[in-house]
Amino acid sequence: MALQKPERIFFGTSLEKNIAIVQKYVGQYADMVVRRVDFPGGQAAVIYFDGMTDKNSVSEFIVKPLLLREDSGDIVPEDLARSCLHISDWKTADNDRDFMDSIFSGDCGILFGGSPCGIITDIKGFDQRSIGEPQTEIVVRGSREGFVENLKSNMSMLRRRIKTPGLCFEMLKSGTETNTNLCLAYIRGLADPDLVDEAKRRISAIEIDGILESGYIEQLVEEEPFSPFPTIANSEKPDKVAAKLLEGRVAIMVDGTPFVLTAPMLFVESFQSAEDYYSRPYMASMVRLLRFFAFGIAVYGPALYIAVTSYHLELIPSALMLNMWQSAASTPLSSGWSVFFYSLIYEVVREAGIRLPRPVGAAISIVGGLVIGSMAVEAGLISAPVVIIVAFTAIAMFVVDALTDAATVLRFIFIFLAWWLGFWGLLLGSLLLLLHLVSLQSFGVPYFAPFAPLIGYQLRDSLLRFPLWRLGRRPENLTIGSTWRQNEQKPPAGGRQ
Amino acid sequence: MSGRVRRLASVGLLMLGLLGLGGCVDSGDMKDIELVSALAADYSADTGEITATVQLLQRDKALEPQYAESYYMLQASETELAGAVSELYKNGARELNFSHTTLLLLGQDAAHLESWLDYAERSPELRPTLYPVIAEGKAADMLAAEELPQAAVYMLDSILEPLGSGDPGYAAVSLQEFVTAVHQPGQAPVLPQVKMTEDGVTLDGFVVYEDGRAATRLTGDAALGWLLLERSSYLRGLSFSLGQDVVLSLKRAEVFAVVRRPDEAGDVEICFRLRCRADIPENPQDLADGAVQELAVQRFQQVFAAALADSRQTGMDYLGIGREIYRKLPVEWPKLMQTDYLNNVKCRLEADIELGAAVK
Repeated sequence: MALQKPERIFFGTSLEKNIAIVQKYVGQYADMVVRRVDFPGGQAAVIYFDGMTDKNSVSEFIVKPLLLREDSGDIVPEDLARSCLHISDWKTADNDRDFMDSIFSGDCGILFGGSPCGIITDIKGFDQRSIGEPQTEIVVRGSREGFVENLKSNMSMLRRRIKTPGLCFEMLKSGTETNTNLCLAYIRGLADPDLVDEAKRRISAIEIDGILESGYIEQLVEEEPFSPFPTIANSEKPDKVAAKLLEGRVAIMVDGTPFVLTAPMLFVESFQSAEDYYSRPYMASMVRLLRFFAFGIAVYGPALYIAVTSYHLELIPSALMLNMWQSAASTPLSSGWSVFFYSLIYEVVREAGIRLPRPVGAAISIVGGLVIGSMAVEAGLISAPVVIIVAFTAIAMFVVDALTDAATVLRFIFIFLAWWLGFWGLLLGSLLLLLHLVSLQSFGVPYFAPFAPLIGYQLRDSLLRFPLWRLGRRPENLTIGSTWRQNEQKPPAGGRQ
Repeated sequence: MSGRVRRLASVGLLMLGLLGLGGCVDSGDMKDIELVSALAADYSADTGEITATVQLLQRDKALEPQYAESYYMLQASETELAGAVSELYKNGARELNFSHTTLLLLGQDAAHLESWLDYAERSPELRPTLYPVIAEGKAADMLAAEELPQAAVYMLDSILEPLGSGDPGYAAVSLQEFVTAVHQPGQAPVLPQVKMTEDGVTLDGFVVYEDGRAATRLTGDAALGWLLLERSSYLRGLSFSLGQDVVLSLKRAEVFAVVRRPDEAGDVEICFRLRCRADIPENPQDLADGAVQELAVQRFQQVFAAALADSRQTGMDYLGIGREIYRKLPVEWPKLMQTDYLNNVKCRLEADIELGAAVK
């Protein structure tokens, strides 16, 4: 059970007591700044955290206007915020928790003597990463803009793309200790209200001390936590998230991470890239097919090698067989052990390459991939075909980025099945995998659609990517909005009349 | 772990366990096997035993399969071929692997036994794509021959699948084709026979099987007739001498049979329609295309007539006449098969020859 928050303590009219309440809430050693201001007609305390709030703004827009105040009448915080302070985004708080939760996020709070109500204003001033190209979703054609760690910036990036009153942002909080700000985004009229309610219900049902990344939310709200497949998508690209919102999905943005979640997710979504829709359909379709092929290789490649070399040697062409048979003679390990052993080495190298500083990581990857492999072959530990198979599989695995984790897990499962039962094992594993895929759901939507259940018109954007003017129909399993996103399925405008 | 996941996991494990226990899979890692290139079977009437000989590749010379030094032999004798082969498994240094065995070489005496066919049909080792071949004399002697310029098995492979072509030649009858013909009504199966000469291993005609035993040997025009009707799709490159020093080289040939229903007299008629394209590599007298065509048609008619006469005389339907009737007239076939249909059915050949450019 997550740590329970203390009871709220409401402010009184004494400024000193209110400051004491706040200090008690924060603790003795907090880096909180309390700046007392004596201004005509009263006293105030400006409260913020050092390094999180813009000090110049505090001086210029809060302290200076207070000191220059000419009216010495009664202190009404709302009136001061409206007529005296130079702030645009403000709200009031009458208890320690509401007051401090905002200040923890970088806002600045003002308490007034004689008033049981404080003002909170958004003048955040902490350092943040500037908007840049997302490293995980690099495109040749398309927007170079990627989400950042700042929630407000991310919201603005979506708002800039979808300029409709229907775009809704609902602010939520999660994490008893971290009090992380979340934002649920959807387009009213397109997103199913039941889906929005369900998303809110699941998020509010989370009981955890901290939400440090959107991955927490993803794992805590998904339907099948034991599945290797992700049932909630994530992206760093605003254009991609905007496209999903336009299909009736909801997006969950988490303060502190550039990865925005979208739901419901379909299996086929993992094979789609934003760039597919920006390039011509032929190339997009070919790349789409290549991605499916690469995923197949990533999952089945090593397992097929083991099955063929251990159980079904007759499938290897004779000339190749003689070569492989000769090279296998010098290795102490069977093909099953060789593949397993080298796959493990590869995973270690990959993990090291990711964690190490970038220049060293790249060197480690090259050393791991090329040198260790060729040295292992020269030393007679493994045969050359094993290096080729595992290396190619490793490359193929990264083609479908969203399913890299699933492919890694499945690859090892299929390696064991093929090692144990040959093609029978692969057949059995594939059957169970298929059963699992068709049984999965993401927020109530069948995960394997449009293949199962078969939805004919959605196949136009699955294995192949049909021309945009043939993709005019919105996915009806995701949206409640109008069926057509284009007037009608006509050839493109601009043609001969 | 939820109850549902636990149940699924236990069902999955149970299924895997049952599959493993079922013995429906048999692994043999590549490093632990010895590759068998050919299996030979010989029968000794004196002892009543069948000797099985396997020719195995030396691993360090596996990439030079043309030399006799690249191979070594293992032999075992038993009363049945299956028993002899299982004995071989015990004698091998590693697990014998037949996945790339291309030849089943039958000694002349063993070719007359039904037991090899029984073994070949049931054996899990032998692939249906391998080629059974009858060897003149002892099959093991042919495999072991060291005086040949190249390894016998390599030469045999080249005869059956012309080197580098990747396709079976006209003499290559796969085990699958042979077994199918054995069980096909109205067809006598045929196997190629080879012999050893000073130049190496050469094709020495074809042997017709009846009731699972080698019955008669096809030579000359009878063999050509069988090739023409039964192996027409494999005849690319086969040369026919047409007389007047003209030689015809087939580029493509296809035969299909038209079966006419019994007429008022109750006679069935089969017309074999041969359509082929051919080159004329030798035409010293510069005969016109029309004349060459006429010669070719005459030659094919002659070959067909000879094969038909031989088939009728021996009573063995290796031209597949009964098979064609069975396929086209399945209702009439049971009655016809009781009769001497080979002699009663009217058969003729219609040849349509398209000539390509003459090679000067």
